Amino acid sequence: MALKEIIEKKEIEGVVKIEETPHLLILWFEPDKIMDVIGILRDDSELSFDWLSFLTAIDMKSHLDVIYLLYSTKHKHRICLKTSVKRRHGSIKSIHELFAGAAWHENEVYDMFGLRFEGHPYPRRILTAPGMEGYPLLKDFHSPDFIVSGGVSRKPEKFREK
Amino acid sequence: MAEDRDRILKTMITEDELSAIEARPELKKDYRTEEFWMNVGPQHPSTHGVLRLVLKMDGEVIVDCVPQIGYLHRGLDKMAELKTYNQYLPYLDRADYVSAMLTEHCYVMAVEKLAGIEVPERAEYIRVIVSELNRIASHLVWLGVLSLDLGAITPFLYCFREREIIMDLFEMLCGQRLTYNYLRFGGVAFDIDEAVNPNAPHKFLGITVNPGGERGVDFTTLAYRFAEVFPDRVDDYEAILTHNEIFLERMAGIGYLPLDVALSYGVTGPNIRGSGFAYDIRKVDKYSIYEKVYNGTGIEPPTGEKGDCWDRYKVRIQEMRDSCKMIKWCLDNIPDGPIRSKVPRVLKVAEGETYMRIEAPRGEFGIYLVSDGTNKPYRLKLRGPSFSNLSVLPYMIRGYKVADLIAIFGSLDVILPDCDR
Repeated sequence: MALKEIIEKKEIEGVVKIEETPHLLILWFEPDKIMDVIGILRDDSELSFDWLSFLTAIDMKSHLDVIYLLYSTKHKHRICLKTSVKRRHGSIKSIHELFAGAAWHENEVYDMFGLRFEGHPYPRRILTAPGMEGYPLLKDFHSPDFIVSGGVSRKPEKFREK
Repeated sequence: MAEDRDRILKTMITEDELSAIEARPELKKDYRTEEFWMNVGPQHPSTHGVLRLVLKMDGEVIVDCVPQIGYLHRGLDKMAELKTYNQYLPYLDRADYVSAMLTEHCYVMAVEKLAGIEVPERAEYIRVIVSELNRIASHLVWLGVLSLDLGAITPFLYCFREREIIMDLFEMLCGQRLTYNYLRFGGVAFDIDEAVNPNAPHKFLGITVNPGGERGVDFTTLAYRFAEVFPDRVDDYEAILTHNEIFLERMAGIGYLPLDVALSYGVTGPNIRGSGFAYDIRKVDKYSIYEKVYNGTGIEPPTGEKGDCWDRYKVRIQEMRDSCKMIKWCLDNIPDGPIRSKVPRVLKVAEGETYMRIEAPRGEFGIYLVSDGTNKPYRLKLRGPSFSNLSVLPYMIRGYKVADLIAIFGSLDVILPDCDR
């Protein structure tokens, strides 16, 4: 039986729809039900998605899509979970209790998109320099020409617009 | 003075982080000394790049550790959105510069999958040959630097001597020794038959091909000879290290990584195989021509038993031998034909998204690519194996001494440009 049918048969609460694209099976879910959805996907013996490849986000300009890529080392199938959250000051529950490795990836998403993760054990900006302002992977972020120590970004005097 | 030092170190991590550390259960001991903070890096020689570890110490015992990463963050994800598909290819070499061929391989496969580009079979063989050569070179850097960290200088010199041959091979092939920019969408840039070195500098390999010949050594001959000779060289390393008493004391029984923890943290590559789980993406996903290679050579992914540093070391040593077999098999069976298919100069990729992953020397290197139908990626996410492999370090080193930190961190084979991206 195809993976899509197996998941449809489980009737997991919080699942909005399951899309079959040419390269990935995409499951849309409600952001409030994240722990239930991922918990069932991980623990169900027919699905057993025991591996989080990574989690990330995409700036869709009107909202953020948060993406979780799960893989089952037992059944060798993969699923892409997606949910939409607010673009500014959005938040979603942290899944570090289900996958310990998610904590760092969540820090990275917070660093790059400004999305907050509720219940995260140590929220911090993991990659960018101290004093960094703005969230670089948002589409309206303008890359500064120079970043000097301390995180203040500026152009050299002579190139600056007057 | 001591208070100042504590205060300065503490300002580098947030209050929340600090309180999270304070709340963790600590080591049970009869006596207790005052805990203090110690700093390792960022310019420490054994941090393999620029990594800073803030250690919480109880005497000589590590109570906790906070890795500070991001010193090599260049924003490769953002750069992808600003460059066309072709322009972005050389940047991939900088993601993991010790195994640049493999990161390129992942990217070209992701774009080919989305754009529906066919790859000629000869090009696939060449890709596997250069990937496996690069894997050996990467493991040699790991082995040399690890043994240097542990105080053995000879293996480092041996390893870099052999790595030099691989660098020369790549120089013959594409003119570069570290950042190759060799793979193309739909194939590779140059044929291996055209790669010739007129100077033939490899006398110590015992090569007597074309003595006094005008052509010098060509790629196929040198690579084949290398794959033949190299397992003997691995025997040399093992003679120095594997059952050396000092090495055993430093590696065996240190840094256990249980399988369930490794799965939960997303640890991949030789690290999880060292914990006893034969999870090799070359074998699982069967991308490129690896299915044929595994069937032809009959190789099984090596695994460890206990998951300590020594097991991870053994797995990587065995992988170097396996890579030699694969190179030999590919050079024996490589078909004739074109090395590149026709690809439009301005590549437009159809709308859609995909995830492509390969078995890099450090684990699962993946690219999640979202295209909106233009000539630039809408979103490109690099999944560096070192990022997840490093996140398990605080778990692993709790309760060990500082000297063990060097061995454990070395055995994880983390490389920071790949971690920070």
